[in-house]
Amino acid sequence: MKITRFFFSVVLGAIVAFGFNACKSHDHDHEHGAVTTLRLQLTNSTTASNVVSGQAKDLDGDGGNAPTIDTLRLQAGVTYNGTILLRNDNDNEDLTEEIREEADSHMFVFTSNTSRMVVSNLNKDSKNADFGIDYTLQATSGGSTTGTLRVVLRHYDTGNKTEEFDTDFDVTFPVVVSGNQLIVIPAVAVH
Amino acid sequence: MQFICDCIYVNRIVAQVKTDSLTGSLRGQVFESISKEPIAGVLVYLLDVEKKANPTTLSTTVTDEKGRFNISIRSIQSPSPHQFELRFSRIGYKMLVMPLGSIPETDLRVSLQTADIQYEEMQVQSERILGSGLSTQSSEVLKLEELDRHRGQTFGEMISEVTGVTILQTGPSISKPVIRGLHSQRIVIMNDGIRQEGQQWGAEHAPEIDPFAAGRIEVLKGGRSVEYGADAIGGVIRVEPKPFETQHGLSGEVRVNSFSNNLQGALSAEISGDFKMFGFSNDDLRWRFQASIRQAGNSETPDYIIRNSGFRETDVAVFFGNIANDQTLAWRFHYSRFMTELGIYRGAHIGNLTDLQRAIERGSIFDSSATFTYDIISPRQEISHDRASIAFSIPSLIGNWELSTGAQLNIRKEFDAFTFGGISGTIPALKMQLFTATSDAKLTQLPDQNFFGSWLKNTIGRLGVSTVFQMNVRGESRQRLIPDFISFTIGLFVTEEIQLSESSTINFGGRFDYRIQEAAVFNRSSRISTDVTRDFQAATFSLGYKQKVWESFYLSGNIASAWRPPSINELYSDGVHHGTAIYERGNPTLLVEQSNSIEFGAEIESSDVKIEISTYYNRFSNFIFQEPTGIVLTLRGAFPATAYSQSDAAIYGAEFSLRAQLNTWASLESKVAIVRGDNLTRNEPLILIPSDRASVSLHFDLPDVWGLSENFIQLGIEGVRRQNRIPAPLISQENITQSSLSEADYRELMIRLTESPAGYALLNFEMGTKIKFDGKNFFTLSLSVQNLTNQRYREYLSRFRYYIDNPGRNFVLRAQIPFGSSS
Repeated sequence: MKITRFFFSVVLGAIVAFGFNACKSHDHDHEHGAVTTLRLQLTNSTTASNVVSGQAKDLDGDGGNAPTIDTLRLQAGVTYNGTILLRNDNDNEDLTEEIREEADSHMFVFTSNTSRMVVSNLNKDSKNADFGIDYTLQATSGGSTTGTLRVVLRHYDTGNKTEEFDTDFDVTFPVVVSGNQLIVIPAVAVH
Repeated sequence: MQFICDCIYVNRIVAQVKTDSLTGSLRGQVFESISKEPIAGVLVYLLDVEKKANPTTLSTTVTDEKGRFNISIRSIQSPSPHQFELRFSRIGYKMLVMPLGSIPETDLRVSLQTADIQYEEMQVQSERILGSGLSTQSSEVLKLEELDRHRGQTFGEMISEVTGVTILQTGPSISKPVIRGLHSQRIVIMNDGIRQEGQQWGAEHAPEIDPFAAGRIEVLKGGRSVEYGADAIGGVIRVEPKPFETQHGLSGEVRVNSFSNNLQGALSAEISGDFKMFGFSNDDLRWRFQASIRQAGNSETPDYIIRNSGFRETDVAVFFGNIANDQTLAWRFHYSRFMTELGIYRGAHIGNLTDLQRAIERGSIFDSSATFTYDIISPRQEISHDRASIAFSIPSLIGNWELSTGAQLNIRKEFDAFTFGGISGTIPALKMQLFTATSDAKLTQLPDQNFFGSWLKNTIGRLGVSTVFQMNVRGESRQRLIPDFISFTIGLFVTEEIQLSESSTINFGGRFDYRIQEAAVFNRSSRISTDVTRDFQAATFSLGYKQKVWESFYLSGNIASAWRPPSINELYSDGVHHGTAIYERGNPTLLVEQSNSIEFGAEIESSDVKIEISTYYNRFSNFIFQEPTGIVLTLRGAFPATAYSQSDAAIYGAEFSLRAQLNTWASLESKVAIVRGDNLTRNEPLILIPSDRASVSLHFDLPDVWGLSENFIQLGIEGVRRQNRIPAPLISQENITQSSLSEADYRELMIRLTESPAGYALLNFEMGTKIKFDGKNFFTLSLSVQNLTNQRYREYLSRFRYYIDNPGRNFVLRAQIPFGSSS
């Protein structure tokens, strides 16, 4: 926008003439501090090398392209130690620490449409109320199934987690649970 | 542009005559002040102005071809200098007011100045009497005294005194005027002759005008594009500062307000003077400085405190200029700064669709633990508006030139409630910086100055050009809503007003406007901004006629067209609107919105009764409105989406106002306003059209007692009907399928969003007095109670109607203390 930039310089002059704070440099294609990615990271509580993760990612923010949401692939009968990571992938920034600092006014709430996923053991904030950035997810034993896991980040700006809140994040992950029954080797017919 | 004060210009009358009783008649002759030619057709009338708000006309006459008049005076006892006055008025001349006490017994020789820069002021005052005037469309003026009675309220609340004007509220701190159902970018606000340009497209963006600064506000209802250009499709609000004092020396005024409901305190001070005190010899130069501060805490409904509903506002203004006479150049420089920080009720800031459903189901306060505080937290707005303007009025042989130019910078920061980490507290969600430069030139030709010579004797012509350059730059913010843009608009217009006879006037005018706009439209998917240039143009016209049918009964009719280019948000907005949890999408293919309106008015004015009735029908083509398009999924959850669309529409209605002096001490005032809006393509009502409302108030003047004068009490009731004309809820099958709610919940939610709250009636009370101090100045004191019965109610035009009640009872104490030489 050549014309814009020209006029912008004119305006800047006017702003200075007006005698108040001239605006700072602009980064026109940037949305500051935006969270683009919410990632669930699930570590098998018995086999630390077994890590399952899935992320919901929306690089272009609200609108534009819809968020892409991974399917979580869990193993039945496994208990996972879960954590949540928040990132701005446009700027390659990890924002998880910022939300941890605001633990007292936030809470992660997990809901599932199947009884085969149980989230418990939410970590606490400084007032010993649930925070839930760290949690335990148990995929109970049974056959293969599918379902959803909805993760909501509630924002309580009164700091009281029994009061009203509004929603900072609301992401529903599709989940596939693989059955934990022994692999049955089909009997070979002997003629 | 009104430039200088209502000067009382009494040439050659020096003798002060005191008589106990005047009977008989007063004779005299009226001359033009420069040419000394006699003026025929000047209306001379004698007024009893004891009741300032409602003066009584005692007798009238008109000057003959030689400018002579003879007015009868019937037994006026002890004329006090202020009780009776003689007024001289004729179209094209400044009205002259003479207190009777200053009139000599000999024949009067009166000089009238041509109206040049005073034109509009005179117009308003004399048109009703002469049955002429440009204003064949309905308009209403709030004068200084009426404005003083509402100081400390928001600018929007002050204007809602006018019949047919309501306010679009976003909590107690934000109110936007709605004229006959239209608001925001469909209304032009002229502040001291210059278009006020904030980010007025937003429903929660209130006009950035100091309510203490206005000396006179005029509301012009209906489309006014011929005179005011693009966007004046719903009407125009003209805000004018007080004129300079003619006297020398320092003078000023202090006003103090206090409000019980939100513990608001407001203080305004102004001081004005001349330059002689600084050693300048120039007699005509004047200055004025004005400053005001308002601070309010949380408002309170009858049942609970509205968390985060306070505001802080600081405004300053400086004026320099001169007091010109009719032959010299007049000028005025005006700089003002408006700064406000205001809280938005937390419970109305919605995270996503499920939050919205919860908030509406709650239907009550977000948290009952809220207590009173002056603290403002997020969500909040921080706005500054600076403007500087200079205007000149230059008399010449072919007419009076008015030249004005101004620059404005509006910086709006909106902080949302989405806060975590350090970044979101300090960086606003939205920061928009709008710079506007306007320039106007206008030539007003009085009778005898027009290009056509003498055969158009009784014609006032105007010719003008106006330009607006605008530029919007996004500041450092976390989100984007509207793109950066630059635009340039130019308009050319001509109007003529012809007095056909003593009792009829016709006026007509035409205008052409052109706007070119370049916007850096951001594509969210590709993350690339593309420059998009669009231009818009429109020709508009108006034709009006006013006829005096018989003594004190006038009829008027008017046809006018008006236009509006689609605003920047309607074209390009792309983002979540947290107030309604709706994802708003612009439509870059929108065309110019145009309206043609017809209006009829009737007016009866006698000494005791004044009745005004007007009816109008405003037909729109390409009326811009929002319609549902689907659901947008984000990391925050689901939002219903709307896009801007166009269709044919009609807005029509009627207004009635009555003012009657019942006897010497009691008067009655009543107002009724009815507005209807239809989307003609969809065959359904338009959303957010003000509901029918009526008010009655009784005013009693009380006798002077204990040194208190002009004592009064007033009791009023305002009734508002439920709005039954609402459009169908925005439901599409696609929305239902994609929404995070069940179908039943989704349907219920959409119905609740469209619904209107119940009707209500409010009682208001007011009492006031004036106390004389230091021998000449009056200390004005008033106490008013709004919502006397502490009624619970919700207003359809309140954007918080889903969540909370309107504020309850409010005691308001106002004091006004003048000082100095001229009060």
